[in-house]
Amino acid sequence: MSAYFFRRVLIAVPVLLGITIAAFSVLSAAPGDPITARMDPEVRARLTQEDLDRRRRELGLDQPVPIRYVRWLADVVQGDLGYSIVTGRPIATEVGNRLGASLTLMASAALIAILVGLPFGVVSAVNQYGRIDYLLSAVTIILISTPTFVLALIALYVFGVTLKVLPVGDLFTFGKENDVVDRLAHLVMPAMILGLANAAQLMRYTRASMLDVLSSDYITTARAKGLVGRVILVRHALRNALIPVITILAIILPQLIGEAVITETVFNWPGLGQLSVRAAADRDPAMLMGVILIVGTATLVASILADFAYSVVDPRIRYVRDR
Amino acid sequence: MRRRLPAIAMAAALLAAACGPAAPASPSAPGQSPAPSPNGGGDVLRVARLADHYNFWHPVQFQTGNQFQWWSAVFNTLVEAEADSRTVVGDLAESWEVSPDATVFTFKLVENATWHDGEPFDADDVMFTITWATQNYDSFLGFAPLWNQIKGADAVKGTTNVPEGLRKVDDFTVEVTLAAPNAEALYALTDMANVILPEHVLKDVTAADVEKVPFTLGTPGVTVGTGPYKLAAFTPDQSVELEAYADYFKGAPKISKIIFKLFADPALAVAQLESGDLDLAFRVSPGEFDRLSAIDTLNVISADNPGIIRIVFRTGIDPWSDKRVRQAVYYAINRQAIVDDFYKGRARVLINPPGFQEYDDLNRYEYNVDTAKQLLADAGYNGQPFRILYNQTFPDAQQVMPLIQSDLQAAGITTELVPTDNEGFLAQYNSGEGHEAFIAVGGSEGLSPDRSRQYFNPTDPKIESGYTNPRIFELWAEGRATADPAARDAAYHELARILNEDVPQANLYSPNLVMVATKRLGGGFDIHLNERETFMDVETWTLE
Repeated sequence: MSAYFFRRVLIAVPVLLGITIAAFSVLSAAPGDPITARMDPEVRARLTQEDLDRRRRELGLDQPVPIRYVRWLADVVQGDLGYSIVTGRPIATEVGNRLGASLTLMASAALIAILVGLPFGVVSAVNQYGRIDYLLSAVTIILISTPTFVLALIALYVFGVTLKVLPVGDLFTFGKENDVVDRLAHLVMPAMILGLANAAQLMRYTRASMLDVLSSDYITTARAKGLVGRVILVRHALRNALIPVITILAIILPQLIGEAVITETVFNWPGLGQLSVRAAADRDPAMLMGVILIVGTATLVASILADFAYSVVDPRIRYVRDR
Repeated sequence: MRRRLPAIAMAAALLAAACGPAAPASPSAPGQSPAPSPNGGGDVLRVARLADHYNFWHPVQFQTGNQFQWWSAVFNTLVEAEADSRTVVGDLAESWEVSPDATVFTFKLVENATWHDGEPFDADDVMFTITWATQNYDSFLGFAPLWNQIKGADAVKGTTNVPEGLRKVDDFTVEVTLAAPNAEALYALTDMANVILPEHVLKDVTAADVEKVPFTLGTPGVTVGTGPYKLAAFTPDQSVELEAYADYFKGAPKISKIIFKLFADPALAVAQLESGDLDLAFRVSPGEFDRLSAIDTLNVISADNPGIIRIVFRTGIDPWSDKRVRQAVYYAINRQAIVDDFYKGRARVLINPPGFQEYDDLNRYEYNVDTAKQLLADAGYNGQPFRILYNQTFPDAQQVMPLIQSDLQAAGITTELVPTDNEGFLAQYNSGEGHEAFIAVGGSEGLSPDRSRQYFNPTDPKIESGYTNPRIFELWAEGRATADPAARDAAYHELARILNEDVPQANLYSPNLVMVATKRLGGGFDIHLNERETFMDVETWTLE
């Protein structure tokens, strides 16, 4: 078991390297020059070529892409992610400041997705073609087919502006930075929107997977043996139905990061998603690399967690034999 | 193993617990109480200006109107402008004298101003600000200060010398001599590019490190000004918190705190105006005008905009080098229809850059497809592509550009739209490639004819239209050189005729700006014509 995990983690390292190489190459090829991009055209006209070259040298941009990549990597290994050209601050600080907000939002959303998606998926499957099943299916289809930002804006206007039961965006109310209740109130809407959108997807998969398992022979056998419905459902059906569901979860976790970009933007939630949008729009390559590094790591961790979960749910699934 | 089934759920829960108060929503979470004073007490003004911002606090990195607003609350200039954005009044200079030829300016400084850290302000701070700027002029990457117009400014670039035209008369008097007359100089000095900086904080800062020192990054206690508010907290891309400075030399401000909120999505700012979480907003989308007007706690203001939407032709490219083709484009676009239908009348059609008078002898270029076609035929236009580069993040661009395209197509001009994002726009603008014209949105041209001077460059055809007719530069210089209204008008009249006839850029229209303020805001509060200047008298505002 431990050898298996050791190997999984070892494989993740070159994958992460590959991600950073690909990202670095794409960013280097993007139109827009970090030197002149944020420069007033009049100023640009005033500066001589030597001035521009000096600035390029200062940022190391005069070197070819592979050398710049190796330098970047060497700095990263030493814990230095470089400086943001947009804020003038170290990227590690910028990313660190926003990591907490993002993790809070994503973890809450993931929890909501699982707590809502799994049980309702089972309920839906057990009551196939019943009234509850139709109702849940209708709700999930609405949730899946409506873009997150539309849901978010509707929720903001209904619960924030009209009913005034929840705050309208932001991480906290100014002046109440340390008020836990105030922060929780601000978390409700973005976490629910992000969580429910993913719960809907998870529910559909759980339902399909459960239906698959419920119609299989060993369930029929279990019934024939006279086992009670709940035991069949939980111990025999759900456990097997979870295997494909875990695959979906492993996909949903990194997907959450992508969706958080939109949710964070709409709710003015100062997380990594918002940061990456701003960095992309501003051609802040070092900042984008910092975000990609974090997101790439998170994706790999999610996939390792999924593998771990497989082996828990189904001991037959082991890629390496224990010796 | 058996009991650890929901491993992922547990991992998520642990993660949630690890990052503090992150449990999912409890239904008992309390809501917001409604306006008028929902949170943070009644003495906090929450502001948003829905436009781009930069995260820097030193004029070397000054590129946005948001910085202008923050800085006018924290810093002072020598002189400032009143709400008409024309009348100049004293700021750190309590009085001044100007020589008849608009060349020598003598400023008498106030003697009771102090920096936010308690240090006294005097002429040395002014001398330092101007000297540093002239020595390091190439460090200014955005709106540049006026100081390079001082006599001898070029000679001290890269040295440690004081320019010839700068003299400290006594501890509270400074004399500035310009290299050439400039009757516009006083108003130009009200721009935040010319804020007076603290010598005791910045004296050892060099061009190499100015962009990274704590002052420039916005650090409370270090980023000190002489203004009515001091910087209390700054979180890049999120918020600026200002606190009243009780010792302000014009008297203590009446509102104790100001928070500038930065929004990633303007739609949320509008929702916060409706919910009472935002008290003042600049540059709200005109589409929100009617809805916000229905809220009785808000004043919704549709204000004249000194800025402009214009098509700038790259006049170096055939056939756009022929003025008849450019005139045809002007005739072919139904500007009045855009103003009436899209802006519901809250915009005004232009025939020149705003700031110029609309003299009777100018061509109004009223919509006329036949004239456009005739001009194209005369010029021998035969379907060459007309690619218009534009920044799709510009307000209304996504809706208006297709209207312009279909108008031009109807006149027989093969028009392609080239939408880009912010940086892509600048990249293509700088290279000059992939387009025959671009859309520019801006600015402050409406404040004076002199303001449009910046869009023309006598030597570099890559700047803007590349229109280098030497006569226009002479006329702009004439306008600057005299304070006599009749002589200035004569120069600007001829200039208006040339720009109107040659159409290096088609000045389309000027959309009104929508500003929204809570009705609790009063005292000296008034939206200035140049809205970014609105905070210049913020110490007089009150919040009920």
